[in-house]
Amino acid sequence: MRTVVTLLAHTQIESVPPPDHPVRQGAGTLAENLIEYAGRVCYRSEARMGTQPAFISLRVREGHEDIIEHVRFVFRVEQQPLDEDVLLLANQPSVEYTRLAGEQWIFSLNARNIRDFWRQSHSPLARALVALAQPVLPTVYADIERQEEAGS
Amino acid sequence: MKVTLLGYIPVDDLPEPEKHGAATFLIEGISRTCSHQIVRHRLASFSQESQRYVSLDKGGWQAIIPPAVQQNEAADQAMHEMWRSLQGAYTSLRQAGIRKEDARFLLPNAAETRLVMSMGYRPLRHFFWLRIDKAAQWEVQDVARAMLRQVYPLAPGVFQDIWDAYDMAGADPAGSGIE
Ligand SMILES: Cc1cc2nc3c(=O)[nH]c(=O)nc-3n(C[C@H](O)[C@H](O)[C@H](O)COP(=O)(O)OP(=O)(O)OC[C@H]3O[C@@H](n4cnc5c(N)ncnc54)[C@H](O)[C@@H]3O)c2cc1C
Repeated sequence: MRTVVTLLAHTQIESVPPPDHPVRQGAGTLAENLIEYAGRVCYRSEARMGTQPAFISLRVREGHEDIIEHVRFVFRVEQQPLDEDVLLLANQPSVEYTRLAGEQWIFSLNARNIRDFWRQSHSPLARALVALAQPVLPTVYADIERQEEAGS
Repeated sequence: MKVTLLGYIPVDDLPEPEKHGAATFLIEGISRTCSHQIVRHRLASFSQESQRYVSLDKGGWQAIIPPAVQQNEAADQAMHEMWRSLQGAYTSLRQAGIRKEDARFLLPNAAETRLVMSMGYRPLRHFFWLRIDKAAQWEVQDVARAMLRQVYPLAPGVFQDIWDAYDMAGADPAGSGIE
């Protein structure tokens, strides 16, 4: 089986909110800052943006996982022959897909979908999605990366 | 009421932009009445200010007063009185050692809130059709119009029919004028 995954797009923040917006005051990537900001809106603690490196992973661990859903990714997936994991991915909540010619698909999904899919499948497709999303959201996938390294 | 676009998926190079596009908004200064309607939309992600972790004084929440009440002196006065008395009651409960999560039982639908919402363009289109319509509540109509104004330039092709149907080009950008 051959699986080739390309990252086409992810949530853009750079050109959007005003220059003094707290989203820009975080210490992570802009996409991570958006997640931290969404979490801090809940606690009204935006003034502390960027002061706690573990903020996102702590929220995720305690089950406040909706905050990572605010970042979405668009991937092109080529797989031949087609494996069941593509169907599993297509059936995750909020996942959208377009079938292109042949065995090529466009998938759009959020950061949480990738975590859930990896947990369910551990397939080459799941690993490829994590590897491509990781530079955009290092803290969101740090625990998965550690487990992958321990397992391989 | 204030809507701020925080992020979006650029769709220019993507097939079926309606499926793959998405946007994230900060929606501030709305009532719990309005937020309750917004969070009923299931194909979306929400992070809303907590009344368990944030107290009335830290939140600085005001009462959102409907325009019809503002324009009616007796009604406006009654609503302000209600808000003042609940502020007092909230403080008393907190001083009596009641946790925020229980003191918040005093807060009415008028209580101000804010939330971050992300939605794909397809469910967003559905949201606009339902919530800009004149059958929708005035406050959520204002929110939906402000969202459409910000997302339309990012993907005019996806939202053109809605933009035209609600005559957004001709509409007053200030909505019903509620701040
Ligand atoms: C004028 C007005 C009055 C209303 N009055 C009331 C009221 O009195 N009481 C009340 O409870 N609600 C009321 N609502 C809320 C309304 O019932 C919906 O809950 C809300 O508008 C969310 O929209 P939705 O369900 O159409 O779609 P969304 O939740 O936005 O979902 C988008 C689409 O996804 C699909 N979908 C999502 N989840 C499911 C599912 N589980 N099964 C099948 N398809 C799904 C549907 O095709 C749906 O159109 C009112 C809404 C309006 C606009």
